[in-house]
Amino acid sequence: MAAAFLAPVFLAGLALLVAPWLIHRIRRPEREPVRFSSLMFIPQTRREVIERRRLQHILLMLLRMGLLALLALAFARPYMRKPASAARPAEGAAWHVILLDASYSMGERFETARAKARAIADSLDAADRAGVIVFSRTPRTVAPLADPDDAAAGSAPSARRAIEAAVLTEESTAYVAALQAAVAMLQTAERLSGAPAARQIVHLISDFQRAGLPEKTDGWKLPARVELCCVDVGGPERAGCAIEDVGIRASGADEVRVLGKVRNWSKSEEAARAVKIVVGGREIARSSITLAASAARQVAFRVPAPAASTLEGWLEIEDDPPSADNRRYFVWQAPSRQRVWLMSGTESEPARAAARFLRSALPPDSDLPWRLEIRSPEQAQTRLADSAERPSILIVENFDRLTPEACAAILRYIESGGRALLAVDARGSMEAANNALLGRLGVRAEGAFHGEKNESQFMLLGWIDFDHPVFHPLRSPEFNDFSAVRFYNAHRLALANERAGTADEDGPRVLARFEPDSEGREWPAMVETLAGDGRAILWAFGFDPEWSNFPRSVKFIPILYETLGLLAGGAEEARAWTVGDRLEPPAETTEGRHPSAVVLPGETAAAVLTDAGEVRPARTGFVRWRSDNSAGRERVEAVNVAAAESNPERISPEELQLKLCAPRVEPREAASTEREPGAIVGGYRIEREYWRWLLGALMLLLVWESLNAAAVGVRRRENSPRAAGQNS
Amino acid sequence: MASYLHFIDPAELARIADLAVLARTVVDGFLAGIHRSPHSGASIEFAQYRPYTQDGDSRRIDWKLFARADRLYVKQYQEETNMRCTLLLDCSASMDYASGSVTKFHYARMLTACLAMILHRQRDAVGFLAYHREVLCYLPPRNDARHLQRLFVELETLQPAGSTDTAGALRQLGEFIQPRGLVALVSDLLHPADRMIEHLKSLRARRHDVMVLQVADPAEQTFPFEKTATFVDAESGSERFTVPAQVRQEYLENRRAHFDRIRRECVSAEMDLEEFATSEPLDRALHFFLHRRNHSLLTSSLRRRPAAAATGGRR
Repeated sequence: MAAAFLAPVFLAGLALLVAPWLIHRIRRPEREPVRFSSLMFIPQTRREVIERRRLQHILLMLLRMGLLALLALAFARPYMRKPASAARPAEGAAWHVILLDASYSMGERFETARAKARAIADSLDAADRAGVIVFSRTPRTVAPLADPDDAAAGSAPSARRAIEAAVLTEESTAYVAALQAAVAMLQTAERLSGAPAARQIVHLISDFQRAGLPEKTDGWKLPARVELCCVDVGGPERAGCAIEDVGIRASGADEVRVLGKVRNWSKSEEAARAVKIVVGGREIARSSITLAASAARQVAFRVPAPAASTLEGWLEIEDDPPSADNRRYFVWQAPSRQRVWLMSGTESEPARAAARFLRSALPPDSDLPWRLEIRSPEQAQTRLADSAERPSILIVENFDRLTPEACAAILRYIESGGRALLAVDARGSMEAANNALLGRLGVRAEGAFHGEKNESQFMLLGWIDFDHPVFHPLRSPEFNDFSAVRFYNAHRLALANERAGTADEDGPRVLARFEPDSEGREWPAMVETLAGDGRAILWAFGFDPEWSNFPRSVKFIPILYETLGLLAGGAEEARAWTVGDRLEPPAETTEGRHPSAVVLPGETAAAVLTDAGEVRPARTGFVRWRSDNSAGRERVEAVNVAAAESNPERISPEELQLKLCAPRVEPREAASTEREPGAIVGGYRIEREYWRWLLGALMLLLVWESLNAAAVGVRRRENSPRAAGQNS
Repeated sequence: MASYLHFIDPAELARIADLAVLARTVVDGFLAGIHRSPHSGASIEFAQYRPYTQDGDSRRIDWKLFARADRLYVKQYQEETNMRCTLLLDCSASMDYASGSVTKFHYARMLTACLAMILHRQRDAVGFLAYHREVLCYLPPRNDARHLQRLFVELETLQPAGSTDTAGALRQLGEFIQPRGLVALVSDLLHPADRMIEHLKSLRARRHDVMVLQVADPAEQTFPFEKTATFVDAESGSERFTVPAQVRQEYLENRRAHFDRIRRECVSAEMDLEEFATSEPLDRALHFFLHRRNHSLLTSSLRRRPAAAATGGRR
């Protein structure tokens, strides 16, 4: 049994041990001569006092040195290891599982790994069995250890054939999944053969990238009966450049900006690389950048906005191994503007307040995701039913002009999935609207508060639901003051669930209420209600200044935008995939249908989507979701390599073993055989890591040192002249 | 009072290199501060007329002159002195200690210079003896300006060094001087007291008025040290490891016992002992000395009065 360290560089911290010694030596009091006029009155200090003080200070110094030593040792992460041959169990048939790392970071080292795997297969005894798993992000069993249908399974030739057939992938590394697959293979073989083997050995052949081992492994450990032999083919780090990310932004109407983040993973070398952008299979621009060691830079390209709405392409670094992370694909979908209809009286009353305010808030040449169109009630009534013509959002005002037919058309629009903002601003009777529209939405307008506007008589909002998405962005103290918003008139909105006294969660939800009226009743000012597949938000007031100063207040545009955003349902976020991901089909393709087939990167034929089947891309490129298995009107998404795999930082095999292997109970008698099944790390088997214990000891020592230092300090204060004066 | 105190602050005075200037400055300021005419009325030689002031003694008004000049004048007389004063200055290495900016030796030297200047102004004969383990310099009592200048030169050339033998210096002084004088010893008294007291008593037996001006550093009075350290004796060079907090009380008791014994012996022999810290202004020392000197003068004049009356007294 011998001690070793996972991070021996931190042992250099032991040099700090000299610091407490130096400080104590410099501050040692007896080395400070004080010239005094006469010693005739100074008595001799007792020897035991001198000795006790010296011991106290020496103890304090040793404690501080111990603290530093423990800190350095804990950072160096010590562990115990044994010579592998001394811990060998009794001789017998052994089962070997060869885990061959095929992640893209292996690059040309994959051939070295293949040779190592081949050597292991060649060294098997006649009674031994071997299985092969090629792993990257997902493990793939290429040669099982046992197969009831295949008598040759588990043999060395079978393993050799599988090793020769293994190919490099573009996936990242995942050690835990690979080891779990190896354990599952051993368990299957055990179940099939009916008895366990004398030895179960997993050979992990990899470049040992730290990115392959997550910080938290959920406590999974390799069973103690399974031996893990690590074969490191990584060698010194050979880092290159990689494109980590691509972002695309619209830049004006005719142009988009493609921004790539390029990182040089080398810790010591500056890199000069050419980066090109390819769109539609054609290189359209190229840029040279120089990257300092361990630095990242942004490279930007301006690309004409595509005539079709989708921009497909990639950024690529030239001449930089490994090649898998040199290219990063992107797809950009031009955002479509949603049509917002204002159902108003434009033809006869072109200057109505609602149109004015909404035109100001939603100007036609803006890059807002909404496009305002103004329709008369008659126009709207006829076109709302047409699915090709109907708007994304409908804003209704001027309730006085709404006919029962128009109300019915609006209700049908909402119930069929439409979104509406209803500004209840009728001055006349609301009976028709209540019956045909509002009543079906669970709300009833019971008339306005006042007949005419009176500026001295206004209402304020008394309660606002800041948890609702409409008001949530305004919840912070600098924005949540609505005291300047005055309502000169409003409709009394009675909610059906409030009238019934039920807490119906699907019923209308009040977003804001006015201050209590003379009867102490707080009438709703804004209400959200669901009907059928649609959603509506009701305002108890109109856009006209006769009703309120709300459209002229600073709160109007934020609340209007949040309301439209809520009604529009939010923009669909661009999805990004990495190789090996389980792909989720999009809700709909560009023509608005559900996808039924997919073409994966590197393939030409479309695969039909089934509920049971999984779609996992094995290569980088574009995924094409189709609704009718025909090219053209399809949704395209990009698949790239995992950027973390490009990070050349390595984990030592010892650390990996300490993290993933359960503590082993050693047999009392060691076997005499010296046969090595594989290259166990340095000829040692890792036993246990001790840094946590060291940290625990450090904490205890810290407490002891603090108490000791406090005691010395207290004694010093007690002996100080001031204290002596007080005592005397 | 505050203005002249400023002039006799030791830290300020330490910046004046010329002892003669220093002593003149201090003594002029000091005398001007305590009263306007320190010499009035105590002599028999007429010196001058001075306008009468309300706080003056009306018995000294010259009424004849008032009749002529219609103004009130009082007569002033020059003192006639025959006092011989000898100043002893300890120049041992222990005097070269300072916890602040002024060493005990520096303080004692300034004090000695000022005392010499006062005595000179009072027309007394001033003698001087500097010593450590042996006598370094002796100037017999004389009363002239050149003598005073020489005294200042000697004072400026002295450097503290070596161990102390106050008893030996007192013994030799007793051989040099005539009886019935005033002897002022300026020392830190940090040495065994037995022989010193014996020789002080011997001087006293020869009818000398003896006063001891003990100079102490504030650090010696309170022992304010905190850090454990090795203390080195300034005279012998011996070392002692000391935990100040542990020995402070005992140190203060030892010191108090030492000086209490000297004080008791001095009181029993009718000698005066006063302790002066180097941080306090010189005025208290000068007051003490002047008071003691006037007392000595009074007793000697009382002894001389019958003879003076026989020869006519005042003219």
